[in-house]
Amino acid sequence: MKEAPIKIAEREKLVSLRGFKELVLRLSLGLILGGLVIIASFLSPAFLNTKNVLNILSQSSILGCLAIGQTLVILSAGIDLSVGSTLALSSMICALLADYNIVLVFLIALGVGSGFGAVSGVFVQKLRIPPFIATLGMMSVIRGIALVLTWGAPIETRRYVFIAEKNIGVVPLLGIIWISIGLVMHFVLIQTRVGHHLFTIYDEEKSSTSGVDVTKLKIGVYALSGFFASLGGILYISRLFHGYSMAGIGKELDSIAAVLIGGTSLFGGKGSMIGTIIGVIVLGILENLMNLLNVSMYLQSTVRGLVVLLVVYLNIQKTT
Amino acid sequence: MIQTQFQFLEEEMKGRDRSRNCLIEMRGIHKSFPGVHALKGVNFDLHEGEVHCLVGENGAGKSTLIKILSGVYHPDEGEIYFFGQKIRKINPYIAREMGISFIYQELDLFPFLTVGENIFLGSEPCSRLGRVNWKKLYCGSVQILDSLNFPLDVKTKVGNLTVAERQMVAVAKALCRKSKVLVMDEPSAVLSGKELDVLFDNIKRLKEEGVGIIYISHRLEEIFEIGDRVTVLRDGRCIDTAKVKDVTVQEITRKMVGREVKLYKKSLNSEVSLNREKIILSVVGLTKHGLFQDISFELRRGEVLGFAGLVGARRTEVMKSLIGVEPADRGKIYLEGKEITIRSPKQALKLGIGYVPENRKEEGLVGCRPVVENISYSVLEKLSNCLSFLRMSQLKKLCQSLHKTLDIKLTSYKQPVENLSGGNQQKVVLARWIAAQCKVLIFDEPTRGIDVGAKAEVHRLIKKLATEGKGIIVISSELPEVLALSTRILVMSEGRITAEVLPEQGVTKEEILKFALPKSLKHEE
Repeated sequence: MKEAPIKIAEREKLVSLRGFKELVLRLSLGLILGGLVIIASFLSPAFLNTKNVLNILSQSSILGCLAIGQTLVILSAGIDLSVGSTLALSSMICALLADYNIVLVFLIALGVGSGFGAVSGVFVQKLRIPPFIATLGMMSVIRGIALVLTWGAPIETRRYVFIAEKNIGVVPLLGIIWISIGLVMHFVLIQTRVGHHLFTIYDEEKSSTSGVDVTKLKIGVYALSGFFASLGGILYISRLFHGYSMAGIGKELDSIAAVLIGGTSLFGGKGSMIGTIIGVIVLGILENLMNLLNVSMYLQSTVRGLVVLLVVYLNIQKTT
Repeated sequence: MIQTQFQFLEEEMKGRDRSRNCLIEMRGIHKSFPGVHALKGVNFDLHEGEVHCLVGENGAGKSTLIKILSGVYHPDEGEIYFFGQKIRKINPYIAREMGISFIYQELDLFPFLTVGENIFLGSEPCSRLGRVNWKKLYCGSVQILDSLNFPLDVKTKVGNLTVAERQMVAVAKALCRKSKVLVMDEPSAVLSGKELDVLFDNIKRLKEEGVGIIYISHRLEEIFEIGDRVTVLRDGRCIDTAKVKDVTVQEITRKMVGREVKLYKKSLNSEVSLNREKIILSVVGLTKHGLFQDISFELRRGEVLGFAGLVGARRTEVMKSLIGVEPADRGKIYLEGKEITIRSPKQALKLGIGYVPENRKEEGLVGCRPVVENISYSVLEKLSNCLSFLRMSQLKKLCQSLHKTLDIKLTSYKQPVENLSGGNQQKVVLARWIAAQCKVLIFDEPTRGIDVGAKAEVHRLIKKLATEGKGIIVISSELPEVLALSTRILVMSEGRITAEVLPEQGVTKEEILKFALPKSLKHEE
């Protein structure tokens, strides 16, 4: 009884192994990704072309931003349906203010997105409206605002195209932006106090009795989700050089799909940001592959749905 | 006596410092829930370096009192002082900040987090930027667990631990806060002998350090081992507070159960002759590993068979395996002489065995649906025609007749069940099972959380059902209730039937309690 089963020095080693262990746990997701790459390279010789691979990275950037925010919300046992609308509103703001200082414009767009996100958070946490309903409402509200700005007309601007065209080395900046944000958020989640607390706020009573400030964190995750959705809007306008009030319709569901593929539980408390990044890439590869193979757009939706079902089923098997 | 209390109050108002000694003081706490007056003016205090035990039967108000202390409930009336300072509004966060830690029966641990993460949740060692110092966190956890003499791998997820190990993690979590007050709600319920020793050693050590401990337990022996003072609650009232060394187990037991029994006096029905020969249900050697062993009993037509015991005696588990929720590993069940195997509650219902669950809100009623639906769930098949359409007229007739016999107070059949009072909700549950026309009815805590008047009525109904020739099993943790209702009583303790007694022969509550208390405080592993 006296001596601890593992000596402290050995425990320290274990601490450094923490990341590795998590990686092993993610292995099944990695296998899916690997398997998909192998199948894809057999089916289409163009797939493993460097240009194509890098293209997938930048194509995934918008969904990536949305999914990163979505992960945080889902970890808190919530859901954010308003990300697609926020993306559209952000792209409209950028397009309308194209003549102003670019830093200022971005700050406004990101600020507006975070603000609307925080409003969702207040609805959820203070007014106790279920997250699904609160953000469904906000989805409609924000979409309406985006539409009213120009009565639905898209605005073309090439002001922001430079972001999408910029490469660092051979890697497109868009890809670097979303992946590095994802990695930073991963670090925040597993290494910081706030991130650690995020894993507990799905159970409000337990968490608050342990001394976690649940209210602040819950409003915070919705604000962050709005922030990342706005960033998605900025990337959207740089890629497609249009501010469009109907942009991002259905993207909220794609982002949820990516989060679920990444192994995050819809009931909160369980999941990882790395998983979400891989989830986004899996969806990106799938889309890219089907485009290369000339699969009809209509059929693509079905295939994607089946893949989501399969992967989530595997995730459930893994945990039980 | 009253005067001295007023003097206390005056001293307090003048701001005299009694805080050095008194950690917690609760005065005149009242709390009502719909249908029950749970606490009726309870006084409670806790001093530095003492273990103050809180005992009482189930439903006496212990948990309610503790939840008021932690801020989960707010008292309707009364004053609470922490460290001599009057507290107006408590919430769990404030309680924690003031150094009051709770170890609940339902532990507030997160299964997906590791032991270390759980211990330090909310007080993680951090750098200035908010980065958690994992090394410090895990070494700290090892130290705390070592100091508890309970080494665990701090890296395992709490979800993989045994219940006893989780209990120790919860203790460690409370300790890492350097709490001045520790509240333990039945910490021993899941611990075995060795672990219990470890826990007691720690309680003694904490006591020496000046920590005040509120200790709730059903096992009275424990109180004599570690307690300094003991407060007995009964029916929401403070019956007595005494030094442990001045009282005996018998005295405490008597104070715990000594409620008025007027209401439970045998009514006219008791002389109804029983068909002693007609065994309707017989259970032989029912066993489920780790839960209960070798449960055998017979139930006769027109009989009310009471199951007495304390929480954790596994009475509910036996019944649940009987009706097929979690089938037993071994054992045979005979219904009217024929051997049956039951795999699901639905099948049990078809065979004529109905189970009225303990927790009517979670397992019994669908609160937001109307009364009529809640009554008819058990008989939908019988009331529908070949195309599965419901015969509404028959349904209405059924409801009317049940409404009349049970005297349910409601405004309309369409009223959602959750708007009814506790007693009337329970009657709706009863109505459902009466409608199902079962041969055997099992009631699990039929009067929990309903007021005295409604209790008497539920009792009358149960007896009426028995006189109609049904076999009735009643599980109740309130001994007077079991005594008054049953024609025969089986006492269970730790998953075994320990005694069979007949109330007619003048068995006392104390005797039953003696059989119900876990025999071995320190049984081997």
